Amino acid sequence: MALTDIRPTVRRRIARVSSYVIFIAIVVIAAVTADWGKITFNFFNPKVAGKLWPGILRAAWNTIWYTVASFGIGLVFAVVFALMKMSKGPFKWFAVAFIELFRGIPALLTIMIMAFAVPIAFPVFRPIESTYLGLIGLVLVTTAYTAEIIRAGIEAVPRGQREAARSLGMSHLRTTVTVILPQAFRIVIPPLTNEVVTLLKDTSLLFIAGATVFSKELTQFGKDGMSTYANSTPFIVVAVFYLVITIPLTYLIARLEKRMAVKK
Amino acid sequence: MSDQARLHTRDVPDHSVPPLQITGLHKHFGSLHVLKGIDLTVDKGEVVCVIGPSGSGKSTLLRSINLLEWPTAGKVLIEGIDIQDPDVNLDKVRTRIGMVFQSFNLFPHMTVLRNVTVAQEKVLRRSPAEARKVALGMLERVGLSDKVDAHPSQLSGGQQQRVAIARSLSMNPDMMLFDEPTSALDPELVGEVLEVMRSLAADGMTMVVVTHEMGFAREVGTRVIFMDDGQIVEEGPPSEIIGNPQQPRTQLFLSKVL
Repeated sequence: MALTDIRPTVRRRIARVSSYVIFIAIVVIAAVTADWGKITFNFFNPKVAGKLWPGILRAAWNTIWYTVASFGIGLVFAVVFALMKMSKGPFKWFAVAFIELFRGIPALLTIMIMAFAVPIAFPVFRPIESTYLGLIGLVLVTTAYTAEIIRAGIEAVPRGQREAARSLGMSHLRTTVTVILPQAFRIVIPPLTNEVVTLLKDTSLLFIAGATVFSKELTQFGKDGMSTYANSTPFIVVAVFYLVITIPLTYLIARLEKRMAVKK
Repeated sequence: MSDQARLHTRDVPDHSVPPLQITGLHKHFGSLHVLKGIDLTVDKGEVVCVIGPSGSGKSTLLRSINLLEWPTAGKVLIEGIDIQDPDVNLDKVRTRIGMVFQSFNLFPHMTVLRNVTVAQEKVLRRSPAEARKVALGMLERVGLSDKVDAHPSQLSGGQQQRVAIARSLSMNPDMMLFDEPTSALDPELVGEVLEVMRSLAADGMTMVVVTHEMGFAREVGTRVIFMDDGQIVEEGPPSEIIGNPQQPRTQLFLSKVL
């Protein structure tokens, strides 16, 4: 009997079972050939993990507040830049230049320039800790990205909304604030979620600014832990901490979005 | 008269002149000549129905009245006020011109009640309590008292359009513009919207209605205007324009829609 003579349902079952078999075989071979002693000692070492406590809490807290602060400040500026970019005249070109600049150069470079170059040029910045200067750099970057997201949201609000509001005698500004922006925000919740998660991970770039014990965030904490204990367990622990923050965050925002969608 | 006084009079509605006077109105969209010299005067209490084939410029004409479209040439006077004058507060004039759209354009993120109160509070500076009182009155008038807490998406098209009418009425306008208010509705919902418009007309509201509802135009309209190719081809009482059109273009159009 040729293979093509087999009934399609049977053929599909054979394909599924054989793919499971192959997958399990690979896992088994990997498990048998791996050096479990070394893996456990180097990556899942409870002694090392224990020593990270409670310092890691401060690092996690720093990661969170760096994210919240830069996103919050960035969001406010982003709305301003989005409106500027949609206007006409010099404000538009300033916004375009700003957005293109900070989207076009690597975030790491922006952070380094803010942390190391700007204090040389402007002495007023010298007393500020370099991590916080780097944070300003992160604000600039997220402002640029978020401004584009907000602009897309504003443009996605149907034209009739603005016309209805203007017909009721609302001014351009009043229309934007009361009618357009609330709808635009609802539209861009998914890309904004993306931006928050990206930003949370980008706070790791602040390590380049050289943090103190008090200002270091998760990634730097993991790297320092690796050096101190000559062991990779801190990396695994830090990775778990990132997931513990990002996954509930994404889930929460998705729920928020669903609740708003019902109202819409 | 001092400059200050002159500026002041420019903004003050003059109720002794017709509420709407349009002269020599032209509108170009790029190379497209949409309105080709429209002259139109609407008196207080008139219900002017504008009919004509699609692309004839009727919606553009209506949208020029509150400057959603800025004319290329010509004048629009609202209660004697030249609304293209840069010294005139256009937003203020617009509060006296209610506009109802084909696609309703309710604010989807607000409840029905908020849709009707928001402009009263933000534009007319009425207190929340007063705005609410006016809104509830208007919503009762359009028969939607039981829907105040609903969101627009929970309403039928006919209900949404009636909320939109209530929203405009809550500003106490001196005239109402309707841009094909029933064209987006399922046939069985057209009647409830026309009923509200009929009662408005009976109360003496000045109305300009772009419509395809010949029955409404004939029954409620005090004057019918037939537009084609950016011009007013024929106008007069509904019985004459719809019942006994003189122009061949009007006859052709009516033979297709009646």
